[in-house]
Amino acid sequence: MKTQITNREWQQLSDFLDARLSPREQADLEKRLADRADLRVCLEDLKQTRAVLKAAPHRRAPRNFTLRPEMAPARRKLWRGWVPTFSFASIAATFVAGVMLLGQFLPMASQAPMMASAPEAATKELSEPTPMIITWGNPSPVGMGMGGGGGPETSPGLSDGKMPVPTPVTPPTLLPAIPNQPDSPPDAVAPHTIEDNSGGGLILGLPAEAEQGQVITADPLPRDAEADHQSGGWQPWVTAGAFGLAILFAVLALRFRRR
Amino acid sequence: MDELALVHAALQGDLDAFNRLVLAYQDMAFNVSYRMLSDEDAAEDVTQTAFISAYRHLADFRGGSFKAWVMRMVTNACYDELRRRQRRPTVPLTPYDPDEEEEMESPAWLADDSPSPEEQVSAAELDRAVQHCLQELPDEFRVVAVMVDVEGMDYQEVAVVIGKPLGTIKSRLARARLKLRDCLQGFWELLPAKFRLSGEGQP
Repeated sequence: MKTQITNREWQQLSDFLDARLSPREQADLEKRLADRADLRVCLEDLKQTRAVLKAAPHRRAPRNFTLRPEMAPARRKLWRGWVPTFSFASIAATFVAGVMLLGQFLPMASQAPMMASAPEAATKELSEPTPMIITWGNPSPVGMGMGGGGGPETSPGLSDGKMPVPTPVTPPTLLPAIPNQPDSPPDAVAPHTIEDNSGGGLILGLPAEAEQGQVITADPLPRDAEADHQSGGWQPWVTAGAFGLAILFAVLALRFRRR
Repeated sequence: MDELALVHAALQGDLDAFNRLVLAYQDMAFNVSYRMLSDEDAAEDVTQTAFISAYRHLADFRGGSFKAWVMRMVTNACYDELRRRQRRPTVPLTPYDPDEEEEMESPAWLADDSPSPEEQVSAAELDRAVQHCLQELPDEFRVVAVMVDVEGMDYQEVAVVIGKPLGTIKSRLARARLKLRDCLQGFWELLPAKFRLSGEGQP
């Protein structure tokens, strides 16, 4: 007699043999067993199979497997004692690397709009000649509109050589700010009461007393930005190193855990 | 035998306490290893390795059934050995003849107070049939069948041993029994009369 019973019924029969069915499932299966001869045959086969397995001879241990002192591993605690240390170190290194990574990317994300336009602005700025602004502590030169006129009139390229040039002109990017001109007497200029609210009044206004005689140039790279640029160079290395340490410690922890 | 007290003493360095646990479970460990590997020498090595490993990792024992915990060590050692065999299969230099080996090396023929030769032959045939059919099973089915049906372990203990949920144990056991039933029908004539299957009920 050939039967077709499902895998689920096979499992129910197997569970039924070991009394692993719930009362409801057991009652349901017993009802089907009463109705179907194929299920009863299969149940008998499973019973016989289990009986054969239980009747299989048990092999006794051919000898004692007790441990002798020389077989007992004495280094177990030594090696395993490092596992928490390496695990913690791995987690800590991963944390440091993650913080470093966030520190590199988060400021970039917040300043992204400004930084996106920064290269264009820098390019534009570099393509144009940097104006050199000279503030005069003396009365304005005659015919020069009281110091106005801007860079082109005072630039060395356009100078006719007859105009008094108080300071030698150097390339703007390399020229440090000169604090004071010792040969320009500050007391030679009468104190002015004009307040310049435009940020110094260097071109059209009269300079402050301390700023007279200074050559002011546009600094193409602010100090802070330069410092940031220089300091940003080591962050990827530290991040990569932290990641490397994290991996190394994780491998060591796993290795010692298996010992 | 207070197993937890023995474990605690073993953790303090009392090797004798641990050896008492070894003596309690070495037969079961060896039998499971043999049923898994079908090789007495390999089963012996695996059993010893498992007990050494159990001693080394005794600090990881968190209570519960020590039998299930130590059998987990045995099972893992068996899996390691099976994987090693798959990586580096070995071929005996001389053709293997189980019948010849049984007759020449079985010490049972020398015993006086053992069962009759007919019973021994019958038991040997049964053992051979069971072992053959167990070897036909996938490893994950075999370990469940050996522990539940051969060793009589509880489902819950087996779940702890192999680290699978109870439903997986039930499912694997049912499928293992089904495969074993089909296989054992091939040994119908060799099995003792009381174990002969009906031969019907093919799914």
